[in-house]
Amino acid sequence: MQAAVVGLLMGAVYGLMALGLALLFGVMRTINFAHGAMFTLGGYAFVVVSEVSGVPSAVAVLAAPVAAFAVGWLVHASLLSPRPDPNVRYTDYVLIVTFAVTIVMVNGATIVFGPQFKRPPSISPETVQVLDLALGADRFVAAATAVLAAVALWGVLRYTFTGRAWRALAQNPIGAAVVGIDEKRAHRSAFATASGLAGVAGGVLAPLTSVFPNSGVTPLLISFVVLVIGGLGSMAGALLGGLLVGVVTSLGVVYISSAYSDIYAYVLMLAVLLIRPAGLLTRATRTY
Amino acid sequence: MSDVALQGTGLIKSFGGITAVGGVSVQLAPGAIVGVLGPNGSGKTTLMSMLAGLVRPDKGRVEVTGHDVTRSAPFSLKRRPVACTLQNPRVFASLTVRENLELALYAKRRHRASAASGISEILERLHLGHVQSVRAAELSGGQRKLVDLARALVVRPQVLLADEPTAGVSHAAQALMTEVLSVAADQGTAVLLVSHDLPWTFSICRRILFLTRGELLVEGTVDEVRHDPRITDAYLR
Repeated sequence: MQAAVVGLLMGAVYGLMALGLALLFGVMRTINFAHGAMFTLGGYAFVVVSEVSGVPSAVAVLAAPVAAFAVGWLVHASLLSPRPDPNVRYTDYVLIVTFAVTIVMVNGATIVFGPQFKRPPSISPETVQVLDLALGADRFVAAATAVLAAVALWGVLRYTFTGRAWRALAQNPIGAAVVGIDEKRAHRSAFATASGLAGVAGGVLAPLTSVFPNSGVTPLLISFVVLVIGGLGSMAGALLGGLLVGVVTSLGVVYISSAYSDIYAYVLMLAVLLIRPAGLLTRATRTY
Repeated sequence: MSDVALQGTGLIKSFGGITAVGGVSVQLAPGAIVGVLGPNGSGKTTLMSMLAGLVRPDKGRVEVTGHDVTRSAPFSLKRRPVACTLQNPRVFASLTVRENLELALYAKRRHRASAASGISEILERLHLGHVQSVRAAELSGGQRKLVDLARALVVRPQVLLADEPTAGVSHAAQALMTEVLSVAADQGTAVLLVSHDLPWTFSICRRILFLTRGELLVEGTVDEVRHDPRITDAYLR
């Protein structure tokens, strides 16, 4: 039971990471390899603001989404807006460029911060008693933030012009052009928002897992797994997939062995692929 | 207002070595309703797509109210005050009918306050008021066509391009379209209709362009085109 609670708390953050990828996959039909680097950036932004300004952690952590959003915006504006050679598919171009961005960001972090682990101060140092298990309140803060961010994203998608433009582009790119949606601007805001979501996840997890130049790699890989489990492009699927991965990993660690903690998510993914190849919340489609 | 709402000059477009449109020119005055007819593969939709900015011509020039918009993006109403509807209605299934219209209005940078009455008015005129809160996914094919037209007209474009607007719609919906398009033309919108529906096109248009194999075969009034023997030949060839 306790393992399930811990799993749900972590799963919410995995879901948040995957939510950003799902948003981008829906709107831009491609994968952002720099998503993990944005996670790391969020963690470093929290560490730096906390050390330099001395403001309370609950305030300093806000730097995480802001920094990741801003860098995401810049990356899109400077590297992803110019159309490549027409013989190169734009989706492939995004894959390669974001992979390059990851390399630059990881090495940049190594030069600036060094390879060692950095840990920002706890956001909420208390402990919370769940049945007979005492858990750090930071886990609950992380999960609650993830849920809030997911609700905020839902609100943006449902009620704002930008969100509706994203949905329109995801559903029908030609229709979006016909009604006058500026695809490039919509892509840019989606890219920055997805980066911001990764930044949030990186910020709230930093006090729990520490930050180092490659700290975004595992969350990125887990996000891909979550995305496949939930169904590519499905927002609700990303959240559900995140929770499932969190719970299964946590139960596996407790009841099987902690030595294989990275494997349980992949086993779950294989199981889902066998049963529902299109993911849990995506309607199966078949192409002839 | 310029004497010419839309001018396409010497438009050429090829796809993989096959010429879809081979040097067609078209001119629309404000308030004109012009029909583009022709057999399948005659280049009607390609011509419309170039005028709408959805396809960039290989050669030629598109001007709207005297401004060259050949290379302008289709989304900028300021640069290209053109709206269009496509053969397959591209409504957004998960948005309601009203949200579909709102999205078009916001995208074209119209003011929000003036938008509400415009949306209600066009929905009422097309008998869509009762479904304005219904998601487009739940509409019939004919209703989607009407929503598509409403979405194009609500931005009050200076030029409206409509590809097969009456395909698959009932006679009642067709009559509504005729009325709404006539009103838009009376208010100064230049309308270009691409259609296979000859009786309807002849009934609403004042001038007809007839394309075949990517070239303009005949241009004239409805009567001139209707009685031109080359038209029958083109369809029977």
